[in-house]
Amino acid sequence: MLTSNILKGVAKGFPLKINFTKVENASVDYNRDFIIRVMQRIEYDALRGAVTDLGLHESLPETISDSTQQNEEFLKKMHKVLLEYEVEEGELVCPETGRKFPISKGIPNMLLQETEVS
Amino acid sequence: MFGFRESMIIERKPDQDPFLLCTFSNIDHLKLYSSRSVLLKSAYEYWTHGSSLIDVADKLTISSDWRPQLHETWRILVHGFRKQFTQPEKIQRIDAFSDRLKIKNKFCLNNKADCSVGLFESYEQGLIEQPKEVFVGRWICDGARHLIDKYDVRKRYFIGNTTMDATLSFVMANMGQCQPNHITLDPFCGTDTRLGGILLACAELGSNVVGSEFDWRVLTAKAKPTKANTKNLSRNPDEMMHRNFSDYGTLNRFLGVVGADFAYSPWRPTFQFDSIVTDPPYGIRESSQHKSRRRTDKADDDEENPVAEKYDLTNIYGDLLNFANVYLCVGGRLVFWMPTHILTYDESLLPTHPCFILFSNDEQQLNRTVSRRLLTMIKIRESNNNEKAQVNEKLFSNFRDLYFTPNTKIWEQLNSNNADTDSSAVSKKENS
Repeated sequence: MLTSNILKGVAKGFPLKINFTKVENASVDYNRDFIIRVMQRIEYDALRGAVTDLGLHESLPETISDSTQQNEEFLKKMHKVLLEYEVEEGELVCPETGRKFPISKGIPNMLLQETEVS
Repeated sequence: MFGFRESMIIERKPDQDPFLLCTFSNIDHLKLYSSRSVLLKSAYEYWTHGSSLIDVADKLTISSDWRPQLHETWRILVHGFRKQFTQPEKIQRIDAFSDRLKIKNKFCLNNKADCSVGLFESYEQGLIEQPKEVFVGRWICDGARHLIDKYDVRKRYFIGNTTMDATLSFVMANMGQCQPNHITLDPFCGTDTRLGGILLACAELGSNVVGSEFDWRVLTAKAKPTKANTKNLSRNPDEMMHRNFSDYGTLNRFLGVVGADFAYSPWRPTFQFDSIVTDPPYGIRESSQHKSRRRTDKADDDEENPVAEKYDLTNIYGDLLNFANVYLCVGGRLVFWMPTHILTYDESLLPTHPCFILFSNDEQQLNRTVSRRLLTMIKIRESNNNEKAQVNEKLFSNFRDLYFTPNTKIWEQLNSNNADTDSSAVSKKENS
């Protein structure tokens, strides 16, 4: 799910909405320092949106303060959401154009058609 | 990287020989450094050196630190540079040495010895009667060459026909300073290092890795497996990257791969990677065309006639720099290969960008006319005003010289290093 947070559509196209048909949940070792570091580069609202898109029952606070970012429980939740959930099949939808980018076997296909390339 | 650049002072660089003499202010720094250096065989505490075994043995009496300490068990390891010693020859030296020094400590012949003394005889090319120099010292630690063995391409379950060899992958990852908690991107992870060869090394050194690849044939299992005994297995590239990372225990750090055209980047421009380590396509073997091709999920791409403008290979380096300018954080490193025609090469040919400095430029000569260079650039500041890379006109003509170079095998070599020992090359011969 981390990758979905750093991808965008054709022009400005961010954040991409996620439609899923298959989501995998794998266990990944928790690395606190990495999560803290990554949190500084994440678009948090987009991540919340993605979590909603996937229908995950993780309640994420609306806003995060500096203290939230140090909170162990929050960090563990971020770890789960960023690294343990993966969309295996589905699509990413561009908010500007509605263009759908398929995700197949966990790989998002962001390649553009001839006609989209100006 | 570990914050101790000032700790290491180089006293003597290798000069046609493999010996580096340096001082570290802290032995732990040395050990940290060695732990990821694949080009370092081992590190010894330097005692002395001289012109012969006798000379060195006599010099050793100068300091009482230059011998095994009281109660230490010890052994002598004899190494020759430009000369191979037979076992009897080694024993002869060990005996001569220990006799002369009258060392009474107990011998221990395996690696449980408290003190392993290294005796190095370095010879001039062709002159094997007398050594040029003899070094002696106490073994401290080994380098990370075990990683080369661990990541030997021949042992890997899935490889492709352009998988970067283990040593070079680690050198690249080190140049990129891949380390825990970093995020490293390889934007051409499939074309050159199929199934993530470079990324595997980056992950081993601690980085979390992301790849992108535009060739849908690679991503959707249309390309045939290269390793001989995997020919009959059906092949899903993501599963294969997964399997490779999983086999090496670094799956935790594999963040995924994305199908993307480098020219139309899918990454949001507000995100920055810590390092970009890659081997861009050389554009001859894989007909690197601007990926404004149509992608279909069905029919074989080979049957379609791919459209689009010819993408001059040279532009890729400017594009890579501009890409790194956006997507690399300040202090981050861009590491990539660039082929050059030797005769007309000079450093002014290299692409530049106002926000980057060239940190290193290492040449790997492939034959008489062609070499490739591993370039490491560091981003030193954010761009104000969308500054762009500068690509020298002369680079274009240097590349044109490359295209017309008579040795066509070089393209295979450029894309799969070390054709002699790489099993992918062997499989290619079987297939053709």
